[in-house]
Amino acid sequence: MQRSRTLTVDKGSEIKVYNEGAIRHNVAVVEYCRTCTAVFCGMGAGVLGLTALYGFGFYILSIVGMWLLLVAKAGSNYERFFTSRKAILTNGFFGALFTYILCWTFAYGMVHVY
Amino acid sequence: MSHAMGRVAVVVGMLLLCHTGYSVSQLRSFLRFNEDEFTSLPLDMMLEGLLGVAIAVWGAAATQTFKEIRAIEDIASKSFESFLHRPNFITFSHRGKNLFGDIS
Repeated sequence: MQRSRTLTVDKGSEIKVYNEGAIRHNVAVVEYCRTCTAVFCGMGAGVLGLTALYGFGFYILSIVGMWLLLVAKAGSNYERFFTSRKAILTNGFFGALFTYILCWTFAYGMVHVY
Repeated sequence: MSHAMGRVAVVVGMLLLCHTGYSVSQLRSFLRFNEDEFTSLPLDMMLEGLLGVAIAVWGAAATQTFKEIRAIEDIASKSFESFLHRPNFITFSHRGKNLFGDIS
């Protein structure tokens, strides 16, 4: 099995070896979940008729909710899957925001303006 | 947790959301017809919409699996000799037959 590894030296005395393909896979999974969350919550915000700041507040709520879901899924031993939990929250924040706004305005137009 | 269950959950969540959307648009046209103003959404429609969104998000996220990133975990269980085993690089066309073959 061919596999490339990245070698990083820890601040302590331990040398950590990471499986690069697995890191990339996990980041892709988180990106997929974030896009799905943005799409579904955007459509939900449009259907519920949220406007202006309420809509953005709902987006922040949905992203934090997704973060809690993924952190719970990773479990207490999260270092098996992620190097940093905060990165899951902040990584694609504005990219997913645009997806959210797209679905939000579409659903709002469909339902409330029609 | 199979992928089929996740897809079913996404479909169910989207159906709930579409049902909510349809109800809200009907409510809006009714209010527009009666020339009442639209203040806020009824509680049951709001709950149905949120439930649909929650089911869809759960269906998309919960069926994904993570992979172990620490390479130590799976190389710790292997013996040292197994690292030299590269089956793709084994060749069968070499001089061995002439060197160690039949004595004729």
